Amino acid sequence: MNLSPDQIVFHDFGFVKLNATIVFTWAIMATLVILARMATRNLTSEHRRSRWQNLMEILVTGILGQIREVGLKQPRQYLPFLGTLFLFIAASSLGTILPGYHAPTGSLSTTAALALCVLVAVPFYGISRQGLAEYLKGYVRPSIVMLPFNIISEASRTLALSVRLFGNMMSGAMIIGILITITPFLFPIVMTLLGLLTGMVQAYIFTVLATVYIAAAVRST
Amino acid sequence: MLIDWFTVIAQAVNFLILVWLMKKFLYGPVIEAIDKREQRIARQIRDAEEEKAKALQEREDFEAKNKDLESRRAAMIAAMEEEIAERRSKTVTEIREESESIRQRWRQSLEEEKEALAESFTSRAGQEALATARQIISDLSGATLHELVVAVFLDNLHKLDAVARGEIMSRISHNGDPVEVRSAMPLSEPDRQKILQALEDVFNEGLSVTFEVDESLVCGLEVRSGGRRIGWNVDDYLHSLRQRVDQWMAHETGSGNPDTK
Repeated sequence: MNLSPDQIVFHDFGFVKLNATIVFTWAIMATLVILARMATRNLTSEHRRSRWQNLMEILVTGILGQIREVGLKQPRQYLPFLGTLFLFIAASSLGTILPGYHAPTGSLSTTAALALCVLVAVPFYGISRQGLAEYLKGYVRPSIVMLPFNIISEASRTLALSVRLFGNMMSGAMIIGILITITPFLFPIVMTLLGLLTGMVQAYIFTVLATVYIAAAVRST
Repeated sequence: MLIDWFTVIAQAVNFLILVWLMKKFLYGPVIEAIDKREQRIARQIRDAEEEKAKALQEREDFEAKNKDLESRRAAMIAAMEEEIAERRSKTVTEIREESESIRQRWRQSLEEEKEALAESFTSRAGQEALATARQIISDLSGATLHELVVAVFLDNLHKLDAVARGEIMSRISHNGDPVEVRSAMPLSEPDRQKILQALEDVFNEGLSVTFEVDESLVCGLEVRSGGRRIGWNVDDYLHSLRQRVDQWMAHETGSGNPDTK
């Protein structure tokens, strides 16, 4: 039994390996882009609009609302990054209903990559908002003594983000795999439903935590 | 090992590509559409507010105009009523004046008619009375009325008082005024002789006497000289009769005149 889709390698070029994680990520990317393209192909600014447009508008405005609620005053600036984070993780979870599918988020490499992106995005937004000096001063507040703790906190939360998501997704897939061998009928389906729920919750948690970190970085002191 | 570093890098790149793609195909267009709609709604609201303000302004204008019109109408009605009253009083005055003048004319024509009637009555009465009297006298005495007239005239001449006689005589002698004998009908020669004789008896001899016919005397005889008149004629009686008739008519029309009511 594979703990991670990384171990399913379709083609090996030495360091470069085309594994299931990358392949399913591409599939998700393609699906999201195609859906987005289809939904936004006939956008209109009239009062009457298509159901797809309505759905997309609800999605976008919902994400914007969430970002604003966390405390970012100009949510549009952060929408592409945070919104895509949510949609990607949610889509990865939703895919589990398909047989033979392996969620890319069930790979620690993927969650680590996402957590690293957040790790980079936080200072990026913080610096672009406050300037480098002001951002760096945040690490020595309220005193220089706090500097190591702040750095540790930065590293540990990245680790926590990646492991939390990986653990949840992997455990879900693992439990279903184990249950299939014990009780092949019914119960795995219930667990799949539960897995969908936890996948959605994890997508939400991951995105909200990333938002909170960015909000903390850009807040002027 | 759970982490494959190549996969981490690949996934990070994949994720960034996805961010870019989603921005291009989802967030960008959707946000643009929402913005456009919001702008349009805002524009519509603004337009609606402008329209409303305009409508309010127009309503105020209309009300002001209406009020103005109302006041002007009231003023015009008042002016019209005043003019009507003025015209009515003027017309009433005119009608009154006209009726007054009509009444005056009516009265005048009535007077004239009365006059003419009296005139004709006098004339007719004179003629009738004369004819009747002539008939009566002729029937009673066998003499003509004319002879009686001459007799009465001669009697009157003889009865003339001294003062009148003296005055006439002085006028005849001083001024040389002629003595004029006027009669209603031509006198016969014996009558003329009688009258000449009587005049010479009363006054002096050598008088220049002329005889003339004057039908207005109706029936009678008179002598005129120097503004004095001696004589007798029916005209005098008729004159007094006419005065009585006039008095009677005045009484009758006076009692029947609506003006006096």
